[in-house]
Amino acid sequence: MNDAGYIFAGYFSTFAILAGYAAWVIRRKRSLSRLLRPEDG
Amino acid sequence: MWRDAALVAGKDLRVEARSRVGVNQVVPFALLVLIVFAFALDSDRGTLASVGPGLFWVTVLFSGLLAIQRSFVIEADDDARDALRLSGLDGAGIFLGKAGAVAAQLAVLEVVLALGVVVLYNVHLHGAVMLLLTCLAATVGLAAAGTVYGIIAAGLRVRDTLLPLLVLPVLAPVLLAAARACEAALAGTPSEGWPWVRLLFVFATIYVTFGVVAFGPLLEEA
Amino acid sequence: MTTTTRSSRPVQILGWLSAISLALTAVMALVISPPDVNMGDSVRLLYLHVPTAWLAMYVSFGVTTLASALYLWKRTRSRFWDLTAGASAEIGVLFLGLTLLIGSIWGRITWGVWWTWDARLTTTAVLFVLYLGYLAVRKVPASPEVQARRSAIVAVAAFLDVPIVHQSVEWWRTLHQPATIGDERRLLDPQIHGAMAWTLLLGVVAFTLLYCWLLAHRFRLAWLEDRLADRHLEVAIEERRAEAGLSEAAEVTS
Repeated sequence: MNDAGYIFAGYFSTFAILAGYAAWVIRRKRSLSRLLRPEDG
Repeated sequence: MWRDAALVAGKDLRVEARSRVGVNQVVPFALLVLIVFAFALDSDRGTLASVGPGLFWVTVLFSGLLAIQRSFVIEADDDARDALRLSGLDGAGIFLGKAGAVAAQLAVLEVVLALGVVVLYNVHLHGAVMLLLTCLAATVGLAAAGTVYGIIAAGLRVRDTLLPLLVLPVLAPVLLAAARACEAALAGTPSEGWPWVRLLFVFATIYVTFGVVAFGPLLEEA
Repeated sequence: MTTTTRSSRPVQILGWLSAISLALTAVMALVISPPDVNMGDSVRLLYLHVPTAWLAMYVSFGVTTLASALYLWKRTRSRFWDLTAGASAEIGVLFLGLTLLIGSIWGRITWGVWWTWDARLTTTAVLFVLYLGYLAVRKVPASPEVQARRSAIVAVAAFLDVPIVHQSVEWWRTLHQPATIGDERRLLDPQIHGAMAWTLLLGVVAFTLLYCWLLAHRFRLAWLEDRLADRHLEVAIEERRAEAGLSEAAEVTS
């Protein structure tokens, strides 16, 4: 494959960024629901 | 609505005329930008003349931002915005008045800057009709879009940084179209310029309409 | 809605589906599909570039505009639309950033530069900053109703600008130089190798699933943030009441 470095870098960074964003959203979501849980149920 | 617009425009222009911030600060700033561009690029007159229209509109854009901010700063003191809100004036009228006042200031600015470009950059003016129509449409578009975003940012602590971020991408097509139309007019190839002038008029129409519809609700909460 | 830490079953299934289809896309794009006749291996980047661009520009910002319009319309006004608009715009900006990144790498391979003032690249960049501005407006603190209405109006104003930006940039480039190559639509041409068209289609499906999954989670997060802000307000009011009650009691006893 020509330009394999660029192509793999592209794929890697895309999936890394998406995974990072998803992880951030889910982590924050969990911590917020824990904060709300005591009264809210 | 038109009477309200005239009242608000007259008030804004009178405040500007008395405070002289526009004359003493904004106009000198705009001229300074022209000089700074000359330092940054090349003192060679050929270079400056060829990029003159672009620099002219960039300068109008940045100085225009100052004028738009001024237009809302003058109402920040003494709760003047509350007074405006309670005045019973029509929202659309207030929008047209404020945008009209900004447009009038921009027009004055453009005349001064055009003189500056002619003198400092050695640009020769051609195609007066197209230049005038371009300036007219671009000025109305700038003032209308600027006033819509000005009221959104007004009253916020972060308004000085938020306004450019909001307004510059929106005005990007105006800058592009106005610079290209002026280039075409100066190069003596008006047929290339007319689509741009039409685009400017479309932009102005869209944002004037949007402002007339949306300004009332926006003023309520500013 | 209840505030459980786990996501609901459909959302979980959606998550797995998008993960599997994304993995399949990567395998198809990097291993199975052949290099393009003209573009060579760089075509493999388009299997990411096209779906992210499509989702960002049409789906995400479309949803943002629609939700904002529904919020502004009095009969359908609800917090739900405001939160949806914000969540969708954030994901859209993320996808558009990825589009620019991948496009830039692709340009580096194909044109030898990271950036050219190609019409579509420029439109994308302007859209990117336009919606960054929208997100900035959403972050400015204000009462929920004020903030929602302000954001909705900004979203509609930004949407009005899109066709003008597109048109102006299109003319700007075509007047100066012929349109650049790289018309991705060519890939969906039936005469192109079947595996390429299927990979692209799979990519679009995978990213659409991912978008739906992210939107569900992001919306949930926005909703929780909203609830938390309300809770803080309630607690603050309770505290003030308690203070007032104490001082009243003190007055009575004295």
